Amino acid sequence: MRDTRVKQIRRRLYFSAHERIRKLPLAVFAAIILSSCALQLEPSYDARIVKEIETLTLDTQTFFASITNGIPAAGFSEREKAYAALAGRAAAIKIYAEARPAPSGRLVGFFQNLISVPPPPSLSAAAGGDRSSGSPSEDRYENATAGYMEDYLRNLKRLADKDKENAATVGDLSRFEAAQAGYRDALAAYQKAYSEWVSGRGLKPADIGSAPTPPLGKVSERYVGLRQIVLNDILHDALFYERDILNRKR
Amino acid sequence: MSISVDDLIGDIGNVMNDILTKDVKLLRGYSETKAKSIARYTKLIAESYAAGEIDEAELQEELDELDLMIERFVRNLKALTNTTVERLIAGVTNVLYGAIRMAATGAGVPLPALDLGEG
Repeated sequence: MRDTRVKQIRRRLYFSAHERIRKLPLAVFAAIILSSCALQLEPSYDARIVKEIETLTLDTQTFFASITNGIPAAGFSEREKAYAALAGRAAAIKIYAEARPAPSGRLVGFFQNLISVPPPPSLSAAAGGDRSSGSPSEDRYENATAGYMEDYLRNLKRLADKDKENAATVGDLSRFEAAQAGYRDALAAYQKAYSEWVSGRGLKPADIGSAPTPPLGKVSERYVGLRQIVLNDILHDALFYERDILNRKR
Repeated sequence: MSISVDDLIGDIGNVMNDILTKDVKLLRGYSETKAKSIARYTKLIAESYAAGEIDEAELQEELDELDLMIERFVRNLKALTNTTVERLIAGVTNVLYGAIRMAATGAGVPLPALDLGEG
């Protein structure tokens, strides 16, 4: 008798829960219709952000076109201005993206939690790096475009630092110019000596001195390629993201 | 005028199919570009390290960037899923609301217009 009663209660509880789950999608749709408001899980589209990312992409490509064979040591002061212009534009996009209100609300939270993507395994950690791979990507890129611009700024700074590290100092340049002048003198002396030697007047090549080697290095073409791929990838991701939220109602 | 459940199911299926087909196509193009970037970048990291152009610390930094490249891809996949869900909900809601409105109008009780502006 008691067992039958327990079974009845369990059955009622089961059907009660089952019924609630069955009605959940209906309740969600009813809530959306009643709120007369489109559900929005990603921030609103901002035409200014897309336009700025497109301009930054063009400027970045123009800059890389000027250093396609690697970065020479000379001319850093000119390139420094180009780095500053690119960084300024990326920083402005970051501010625009951060100023854009993010969607919020209980229904938004419900759907955002429903769609959870596990973080990918870290290649860096596998190679012995110490970067934490535990944080899901949505935490790092909660504000996607702002996060992408942070990635852009970090990579641009890496290129600028490498350039600066390899750049000629004022002293280097003076020495380089002096060496070039010395080389010209040596070449002239050699030509003179050669013609005198040829004419049998007794001067030897040892009187000429050795030609100086330019002291300046450069950032390799491959290193420039590494930074270019990453910066292009970041800009491509940012444009994909912004255009995707633009097309949300297509 | 009553609502035909079979027609309604068909309309919902068409809307969902249309949205999902477009998004899968978009995702395929994006994934291909991303795969090319990752492959070219990985090749250059290996070559730069072998040529001695980057040291151990810089190699680690490049591998961190490779991780972030993949994380951005995952983040964009999630955003695409979110906007797909937005579109599915909006599309299905329109179909349902349209059916209700048509039935109500047929019965002589017109409904107010549904404003699906951002809330």
